Amino acid sequence: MLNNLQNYITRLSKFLTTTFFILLISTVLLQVFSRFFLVQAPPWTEELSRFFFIYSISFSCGLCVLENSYISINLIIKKFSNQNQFLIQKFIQYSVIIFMILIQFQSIKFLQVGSLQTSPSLGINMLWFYFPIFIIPLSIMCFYIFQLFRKI
Amino acid sequence: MLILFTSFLILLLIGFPISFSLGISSLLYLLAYDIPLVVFPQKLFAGLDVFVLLCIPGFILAGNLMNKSGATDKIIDFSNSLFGHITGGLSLANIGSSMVFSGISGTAVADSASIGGVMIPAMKKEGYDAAFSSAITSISSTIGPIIPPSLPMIIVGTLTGMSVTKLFIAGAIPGLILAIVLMCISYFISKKNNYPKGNKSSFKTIFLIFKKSILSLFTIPLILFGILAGVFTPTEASIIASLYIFFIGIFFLGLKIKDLYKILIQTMISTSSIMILVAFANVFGWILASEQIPQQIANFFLSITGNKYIMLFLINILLLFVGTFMETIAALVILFPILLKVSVSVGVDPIHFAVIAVLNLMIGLSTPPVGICLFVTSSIGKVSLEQITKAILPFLFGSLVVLFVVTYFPEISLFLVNSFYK
Repeated sequence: MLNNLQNYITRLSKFLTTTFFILLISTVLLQVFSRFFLVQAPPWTEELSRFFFIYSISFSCGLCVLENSYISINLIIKKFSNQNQFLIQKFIQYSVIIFMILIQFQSIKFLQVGSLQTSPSLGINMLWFYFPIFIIPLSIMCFYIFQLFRKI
Repeated sequence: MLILFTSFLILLLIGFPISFSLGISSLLYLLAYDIPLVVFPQKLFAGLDVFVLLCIPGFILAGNLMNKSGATDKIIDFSNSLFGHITGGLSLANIGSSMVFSGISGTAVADSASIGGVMIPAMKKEGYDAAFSSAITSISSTIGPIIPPSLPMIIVGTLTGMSVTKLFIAGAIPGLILAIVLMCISYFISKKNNYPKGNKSSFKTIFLIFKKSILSLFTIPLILFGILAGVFTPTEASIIASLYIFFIGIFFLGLKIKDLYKILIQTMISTSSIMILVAFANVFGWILASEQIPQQIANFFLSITGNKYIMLFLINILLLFVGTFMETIAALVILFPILLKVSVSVGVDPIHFAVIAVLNLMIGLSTPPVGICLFVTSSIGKVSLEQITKAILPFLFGSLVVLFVVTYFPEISLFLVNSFYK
């Protein structure tokens, strides 16, 4: 059950990461193309590329947990016995999950602030710009939970 | 403030990822001082929402496409045809390849993994000591982020508003000097240990290999001249270069469309781990700034001395020390604005100081106990940290000499910048 859920979320994260990354690349290319071949580059390309970039990060940050891409210093922990290493690992996983839950709650307040603002170039509600700040802790938390149960 | 630093160090040492150590310690600080926690997501977003940082995935993508398409191998072949006949030729080719690859990727870890994956097994097979092979790969990969394009320089530009293009230009000569010094040390060690040399390639062979690798090598002028001539911004140059490598990969190097999905995901995973670190470091840095820690540290330094040269010496010592245990980006986000203020107040040029700081932290990537490049190459070469540490000492000494020269001769960094921006 948990394995199926993890596979589903991993596939979804990969798909969304790639989609937003391709959109980011396309926007930058549009910017270059319009500067060379059109009278004027659209003013919204910079804002749109930042939008896609942040979304792409928000969907891939959980995959970093899966791939062990967050750098940590393991020199001291490696000197402990296997059992202590296991316990410290569990402590780290639980702590990060709690940390992410706390950010998650705060991000909701942040989104509420954003819902009252409009982006300068695209003219869309800033809620959509700030939404990745809600996705980031959720994504990292999900993959830490998977890791927690997988190792038991 | 004690709670911020103590919790950060404890979390770091017990094995928390650096990003989360920064984040959790910042959160504990906000809780302890009753600061509204909504500041946290605000600063997190501010750390991510920076246009210049968009070039990070572009340069990483270019590096990944180079590796997957086999373009990196072509560069190594070319480098080998030039240096292979000299004693210790493979180690020189290793440094040469790093210089060329660094002109595309901009990150030391990517460089050490991709060049190391090919060069370390090849060097071991030819009879080079595994620790030496791993050490030379680790230290040569630190040239990458000094020679443009450079990820740490992009971060510096983002933090301070300095022109990324000027920062790129400033790193070119120091990077070349570092490469030459490392090549000399490598040659003498190879001579002493009687490491093998290959057959001398004829001019015709070199030309043939050059012809095969020319499409891959063209990526470097595409990026550098694109940025320096003002045709592209760094972000645009990174994407155009990726697109170029993608097309030559598909049409000439056997890259398959089906590989692209994995490459894109891998690129974003690498980018994301960097960006999450930048975002949490931004919260940490904001706390330091709001507590006026930069001001206090600046005053402390200035109370010791007002002499420019002694100040630079002290800053170098501090950065070298920090670089041994702290990740480059986190160290830059937290320390660079503080130290820039100090150095500018004693008359150091900001661009020159950026080169000094990046060079310091790059040396840290190959310095135990937390040299990330050391970990990468020691695992490829299957040598212990002790073995690689011993093997890398002469190269570290050479790097420190270069650091000294770059620190006290600002013209080395500023000559090209002044020539371009008269």
